[in-house]
Amino acid sequence: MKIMTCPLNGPRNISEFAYGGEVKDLPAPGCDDATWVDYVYLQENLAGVVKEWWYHTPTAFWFIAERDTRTDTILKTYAASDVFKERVDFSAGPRE
Amino acid sequence: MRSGMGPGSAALRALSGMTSYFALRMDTTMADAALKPTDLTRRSNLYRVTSQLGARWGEVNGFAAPMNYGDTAAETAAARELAIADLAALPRAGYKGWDMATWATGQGLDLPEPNRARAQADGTLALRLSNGELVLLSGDDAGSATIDKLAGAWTMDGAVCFPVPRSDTNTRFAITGARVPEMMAKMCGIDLRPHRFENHQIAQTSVARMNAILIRNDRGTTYALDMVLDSASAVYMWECLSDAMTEFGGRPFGLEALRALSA
Repeated sequence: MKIMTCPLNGPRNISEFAYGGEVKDLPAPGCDDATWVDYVYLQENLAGVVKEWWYHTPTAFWFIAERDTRTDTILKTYAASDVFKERVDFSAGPRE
Repeated sequence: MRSGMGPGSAALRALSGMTSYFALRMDTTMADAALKPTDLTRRSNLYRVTSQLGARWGEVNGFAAPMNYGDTAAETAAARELAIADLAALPRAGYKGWDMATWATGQGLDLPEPNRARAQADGTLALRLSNGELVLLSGDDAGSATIDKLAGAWTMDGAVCFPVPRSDTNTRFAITGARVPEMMAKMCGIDLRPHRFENHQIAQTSVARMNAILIRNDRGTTYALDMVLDSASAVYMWECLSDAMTEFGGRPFGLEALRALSA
């Protein structure tokens, strides 16, 4: 079986993981609808090295993997807290 | 008639949840031939299965717990080779949150690094599941002063972590004996051999296609795993383990034999 290394739990069978989509930058609060649609629904689907969310099911642990989609090789994995260090402020409120 | 303890008093104590640690311990020394699991308000999800296997019951924390299956000496010998026990009656608790470690350390806990366990002074095992998540498993005696203390100390005000209910949603088995790693290789992808999986190491993984937490927790010189899993799947997992251990001659064993391993 294919093995992936979880930053919390170490190497595990790929069957213990779930894919969570591409890592994207959150649009600025108050952006237009097309930007939100792009963020929520559309994927880049690049042939090359991509950053993806992955989830270790037994521990409910989300982390980031860098993967080469041309060869399906996992290059490295790290905790999301290595990248996202600050709380997102949604205080701008809904657009009119 | 059981000595000095009717079903009514057991029910009252289970409801109050305030019985002292020492009073509980006194109830749990031996199996009581007259006690049926349905006499008590709290039972393991497995009680029908273990009753069929010939369990003799004792009261542990208001729970009916399988104390033995008729021959503690034979069970103790088997537990050094391969045997499984239902530890649903033993207390469990959990806390989770961004600054769990500061709070728990402030309460006097000695915390290990993530995916390790550490025994506390009263025999309670502290499992660090991640930086911010803690599970407490009592020792093999009836109670846990550590669990009681933290339950009393936690308040909503200024909380940096929150309690995760583990006593009802989760259950706990012991899987003991030298043949355990060989048997577990049939249902789990982690190498659990003693030279690869140290005492007090934790594996949060898939066992028989179900999520489970495995903790190596040797009893005396006997290799042992504690398994924490979803209580609603206890019967499924017990059957998977029973099936897997058949070829190695494994058997169920009670709390008396488990305590004898550490003696």
